[in-house]
Amino acid sequence: MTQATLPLNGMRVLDLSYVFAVPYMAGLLSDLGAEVIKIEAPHKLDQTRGRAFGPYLDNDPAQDPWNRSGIFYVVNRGKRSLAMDLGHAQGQEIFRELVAKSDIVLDNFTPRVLRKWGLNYDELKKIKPSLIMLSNTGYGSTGPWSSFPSQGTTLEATMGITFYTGYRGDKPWKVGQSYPDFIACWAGLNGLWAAIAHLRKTGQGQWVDVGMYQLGVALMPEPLLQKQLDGTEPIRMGNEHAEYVPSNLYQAQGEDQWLALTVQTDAQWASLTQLMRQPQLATDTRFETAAARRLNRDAVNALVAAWCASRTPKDLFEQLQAHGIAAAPVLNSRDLLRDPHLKHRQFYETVSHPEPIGERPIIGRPYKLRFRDAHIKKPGPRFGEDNDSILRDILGKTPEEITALKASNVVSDLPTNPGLSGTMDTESMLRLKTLVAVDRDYRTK
Amino acid sequence: MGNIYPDGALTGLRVLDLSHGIAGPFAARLLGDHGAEVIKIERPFMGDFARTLAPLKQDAPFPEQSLLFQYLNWNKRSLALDLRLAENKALIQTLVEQSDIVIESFRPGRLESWGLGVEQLLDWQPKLVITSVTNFGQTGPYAQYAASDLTLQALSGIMQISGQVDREPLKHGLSQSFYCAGLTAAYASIMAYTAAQADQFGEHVDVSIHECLASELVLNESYYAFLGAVQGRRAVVQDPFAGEPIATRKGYLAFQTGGGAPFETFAELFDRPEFLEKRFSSPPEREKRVAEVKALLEECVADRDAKEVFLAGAQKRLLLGVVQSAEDLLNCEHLKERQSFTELDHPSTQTQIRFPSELAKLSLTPTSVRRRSPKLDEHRDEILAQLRSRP
Repeated sequence: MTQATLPLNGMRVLDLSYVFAVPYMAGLLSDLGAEVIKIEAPHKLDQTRGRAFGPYLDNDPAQDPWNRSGIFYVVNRGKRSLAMDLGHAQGQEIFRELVAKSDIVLDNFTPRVLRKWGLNYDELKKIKPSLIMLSNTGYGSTGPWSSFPSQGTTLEATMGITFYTGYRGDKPWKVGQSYPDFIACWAGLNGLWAAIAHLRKTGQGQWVDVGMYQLGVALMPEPLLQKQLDGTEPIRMGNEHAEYVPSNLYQAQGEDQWLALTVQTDAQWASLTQLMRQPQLATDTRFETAAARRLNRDAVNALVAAWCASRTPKDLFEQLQAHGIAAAPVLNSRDLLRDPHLKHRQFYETVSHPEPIGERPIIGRPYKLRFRDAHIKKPGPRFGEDNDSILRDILGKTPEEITALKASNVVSDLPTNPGLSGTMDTESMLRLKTLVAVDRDYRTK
Repeated sequence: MGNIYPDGALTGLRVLDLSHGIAGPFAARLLGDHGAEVIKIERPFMGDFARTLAPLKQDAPFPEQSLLFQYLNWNKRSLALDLRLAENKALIQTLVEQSDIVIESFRPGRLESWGLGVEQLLDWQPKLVITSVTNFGQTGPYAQYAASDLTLQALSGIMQISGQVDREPLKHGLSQSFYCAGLTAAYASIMAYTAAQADQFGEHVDVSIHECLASELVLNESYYAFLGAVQGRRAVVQDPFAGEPIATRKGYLAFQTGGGAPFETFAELFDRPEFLEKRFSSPPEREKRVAEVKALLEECVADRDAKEVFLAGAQKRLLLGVVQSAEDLLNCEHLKERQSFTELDHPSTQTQIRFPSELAKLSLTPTSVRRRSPKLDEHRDEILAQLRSRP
């Protein structure tokens, strides 16, 4: 080859998964050149196409709400859509035909579902010996909890992160935003890429069994080790740090404006006291050393809080960073889309969707490549958008066969059971402050 | 130690780990877990600063006290080497020439200032993958900024939507930013290595910890990008079936709707017919009386233990979580059955500690822990001899 190329050019991925973790893995694979086919059930929409997660474009479900959900377009970018019923014998047969012409299958069913359909890894590898399959479940395919249902929200409690999150003195707190799904996404991609490397070397496929519970536990070694070492557990302390003082969030000037800062060394503390125009605090025996500051946490916090209160987060951010102190404002989703650093790095990619969605910013990838052009190659698909072309071009089905598959609801151009749709009650969310603003002019802002 | 372990997916691959702290070393270790041979370069005398991270085993000699260092650095051999010194240049060149992947986490520009920039490394080894793991990436206005787990969670937007509306934003516990970035750096390294093997072009992978976190906010971002809505934190009183921990006699439970069982199954679980009624089973109806729903649920679990309710509910295919601490996790029957933990000797005392070790099961090439973390410079002679013997 004469130039650097994307590693998944020419590879085909069948994505049977719903919600966040695995769909996002598959979307990220498409950024690297893979052809990803999302297989969706006509009678059961991906939750991200529906009301469960919203948000519909302009909060308007219109006539086809399943094609208007923003979250769907973020995690399913770059894919094609085949709306086909895998519970139906004919759907299973077509799926097997597709497996023979694909390289990777991704799913997040509980383990019993694919076994019931005869589409588990042991069956599929008979069709395609070099197949790589990844199954993501709450608890993995073995062990006493393997058949338990799970989703990120409840799993975060079980995996331990909830126990160590919360305001000082308060009960355990949900971290939210379906956090376990994202660590499962990153960890699943690890297993998957290792399997791809092995495939390229040996021609051998294999099965990657991801249990989210177990991998979540692996990302919180500190309390597991501390418990074994001396029998103690870290306590919940809000935004503070056991060793570094100050390391906390302080209210800054303006409505709901916050500044996070962490002082990691005594020299940084001295710099901070200069900035605060209270240099005497650097040599005050109550604050001079890290150990002293730990003993006087409340006093340190009060001093820093008083200084931050009358300054804007932006000024504080710039001044503190100019002095080498880790600091940052708390950004919201509007701030993030306008952040100069993320803009400079083109973290959000502008993707052109069919009308009425049009051009929208979509999260790219958390890494940059110098020599290879990883990018979002097309917008996420409308429901069943590629039914005909996939059946015709990949499997050679005739127009008559395709019509028959649609007539028997094996393949469908529309959801057969779209469920509830409806607008989000933004007014009451604003009242409750679970939304802090709704910008009508968000497209141009 | 070799024969008792089957080959990993990356057996035969060589990784040079120049990184320190959590994210970079975790990434290099993950490659080692898949079978790669990892040489860790540490600064002389002090070593990786992660050797000072808690929890510390006080009866062990410095710099061998940190159990966290142990967790982040198994499957590696250690060589202490000052990268800044010209006299070490030839040795560094040999190490790079014999590597497939280099992982580093210095402030952007630092390696280049020592004559070890990306161009130089690629000149020595054109198929090399260099993965840089830094707070804000190699470019952009924040590239040189300092950061901590807290400030990264602030600047990535995570904190804006975590916590309660009438209180301050709340960070995720522990040091999650760095583990998220370690996972990303590991898979991106294997990805770039796979690409380089195919087309013979090396790569520089620039991983930003900040962007790893911002990448997790797919819902939050689309609220704004598709509707102009800025999310806030959680309501003070919310539907208790949305995951907020509920206190039991012993421990906390998290409830969610939408598992494999209909909502009415809660009536069976608690022997309370109220859950069959529409005012509790319908989400919009529940929204109208969240305080009442919460009170009922609290009453149902007040005389029960969280773990017992979790098991009973999950067996009925309800979506339940149980808030578990380290002690619960260390004693969990499921993790035990899955053999999630590996017991290792401390490098310089004989204490055995159990570490969570497997992230995912690969059916053909399982991950393995083949050697404990190294003492500082433990493998100097072995590594130097090996370099001399290779062509």
